Amino acid sequence: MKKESEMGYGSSGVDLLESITMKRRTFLLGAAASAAGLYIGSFAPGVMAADGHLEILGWEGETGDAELADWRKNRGITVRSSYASTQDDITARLAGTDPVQLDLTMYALGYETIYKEMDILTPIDTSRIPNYSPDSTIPLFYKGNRWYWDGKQWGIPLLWGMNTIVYNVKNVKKPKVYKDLLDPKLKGKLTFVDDGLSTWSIIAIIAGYGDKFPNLTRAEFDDAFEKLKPYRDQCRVFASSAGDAVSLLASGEVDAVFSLSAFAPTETAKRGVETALSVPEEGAALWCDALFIPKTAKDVPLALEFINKVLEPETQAKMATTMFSAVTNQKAIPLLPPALRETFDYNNLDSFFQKSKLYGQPPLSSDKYVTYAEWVDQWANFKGSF
Amino acid sequence: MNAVNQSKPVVVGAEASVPIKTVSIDKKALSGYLLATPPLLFLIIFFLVPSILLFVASFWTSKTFTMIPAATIANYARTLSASGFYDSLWISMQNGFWTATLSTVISAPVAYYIVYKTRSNAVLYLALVSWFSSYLVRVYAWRTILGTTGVINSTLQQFGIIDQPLEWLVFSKFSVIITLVHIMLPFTLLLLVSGLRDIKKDYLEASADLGGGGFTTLWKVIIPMAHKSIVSSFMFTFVLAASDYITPQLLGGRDAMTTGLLIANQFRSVGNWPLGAAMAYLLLAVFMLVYATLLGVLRAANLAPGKRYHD
Repeated sequence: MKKESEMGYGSSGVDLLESITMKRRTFLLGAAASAAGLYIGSFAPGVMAADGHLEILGWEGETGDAELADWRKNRGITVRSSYASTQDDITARLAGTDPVQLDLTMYALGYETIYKEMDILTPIDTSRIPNYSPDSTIPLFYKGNRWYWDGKQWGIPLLWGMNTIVYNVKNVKKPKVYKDLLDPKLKGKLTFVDDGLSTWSIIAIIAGYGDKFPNLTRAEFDDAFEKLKPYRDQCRVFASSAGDAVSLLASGEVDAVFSLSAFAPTETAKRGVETALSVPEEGAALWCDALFIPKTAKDVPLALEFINKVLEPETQAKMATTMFSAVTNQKAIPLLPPALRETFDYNNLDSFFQKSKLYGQPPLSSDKYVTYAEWVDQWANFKGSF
Repeated sequence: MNAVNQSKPVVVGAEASVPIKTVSIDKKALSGYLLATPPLLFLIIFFLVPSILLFVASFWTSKTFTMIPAATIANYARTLSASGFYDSLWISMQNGFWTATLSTVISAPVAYYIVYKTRSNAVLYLALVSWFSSYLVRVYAWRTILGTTGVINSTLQQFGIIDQPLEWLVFSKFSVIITLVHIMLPFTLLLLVSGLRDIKKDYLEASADLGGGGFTTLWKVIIPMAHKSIVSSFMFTFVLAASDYITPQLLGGRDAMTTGLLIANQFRSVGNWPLGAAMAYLLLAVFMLVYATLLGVLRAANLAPGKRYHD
């Protein structure tokens, strides 16, 4: 009979270590050297940057990677941008006793109260940001209470935009009110995006509690979700993200999305599917991303310089065009493509903001109102029980 | 085996009358320890210690993304009193059971072929090739295949077999299971191949010489001798599939809410790590229960003798 090793049934009887001693040593040495190289290499950008280095965590498209390339080169600085997929990614990195080192990051509307309570914000010296001024900034975004309190500036609004109904123009008649989404023709063809930020305020609006959101009592909260059930019954899938919703629209799995970013029609057009935005009578969900300097920042002067740079009209216009969003610096408005200017109706901003509001987030703790955690739980139950 | 053995006395010159005990190191055992130590240390530092910390944290409380030391079972009580937890657990368990069962059953004949019928590893490599694509790409590929306008529906409609797209193909339990099976199959195949390679062909031939047919050899020889790799294969896949929340979210439709997603919500969205930890440990307890049940069933059927047949 052949030996086991010859038959290929296993390696028993072979002293593996002896046979590979040299190779193993070589391997370990190589692995150690590689690990050391990688470890040291991870510090290289900071070490090599003669005039400074910034660590930024933000939304993809809002960290100025392309728009500020010349500035970085001329200033001789380096910026390492990493991208968050949800606000939770940012919160998780800054929470706890061992937060991640970041010079600059962002918060979405409503998170200012959460971050204030978490004590992770630092005051911003606006004298170092000339592009954030009454002359340049759209009034709603200048020292508004989402970014300015206790006599100090804590966040700088960068870009804003809206999430609203997106529909396939060939298959669906333009929805004018949210109830139009209950059309039997849309059975199985509607979807929600699994994003509380852009959905919860609309849930409250549909139920008639728009003026009260984000502070809803338990009875109002239960009523709001009860009134949302018919919309849920129109769905057979929840989109896991905005990108997933675009994919569902493009593949024809759905014909309408309850609330989706304004960039969606551009994205579906790239895949040959024509969709459009519809801002219903009840209004859209607005978003606004603000830059802030967390307590883990190392180079605050450079962070302030960066903020000023991204607020320059040219930079703002480029970023807004890429993101199909709106600018906070009104000097950037003339630089925008006409379609983008019309979408956000810059000529009638007051009435635009009257219809669609900048909502906050539910309270983290409250005896009177339903809390943020309860919204998350209910949203999960809502998705899971349709 | 002991690493240190007493060797024969060494007798030197004038001290010949005095027996001297010397100690030598068993090279084979030492090499075993050397090989085992790094992964063992890794597991202790990066798995065992964090797991213990997480278990301790499950008895803490939380406020504003910050954990507060405490000694309360409130997180467990809250989880066990929430109907949503049981609903999601049921979906997770179904995903795990069907994925593990189908993956193991489909892999078994392939593993048999690879080990006993061919000397080529081509089939094994073919199965492993899917690992070279990303997880998300595979999930989206299945969405394309199973979608309303996907390959299957389009083909069936073109041939006039169906008038309307089969809606149950996608955003259903079916689509989740078929995708998870595709993702998990290489794992089960590798584990089963590894297990079968320890069963010498002589045993199979001996069974045949003694009059055992194919089924008898399978039932009386192969399964009992390979039961550990079968259990490993099933449980490994079961745990991965039952914990997964990406595939159910992208393809599950109404069955998207799994326990994994509830746990992720607590860690990422709510920042309530203690509650997330309690949920994770309850899920772990369920996994242990499934493992014990599986072993019990195999033992009751005399398929898990608890012996080691190979070196």
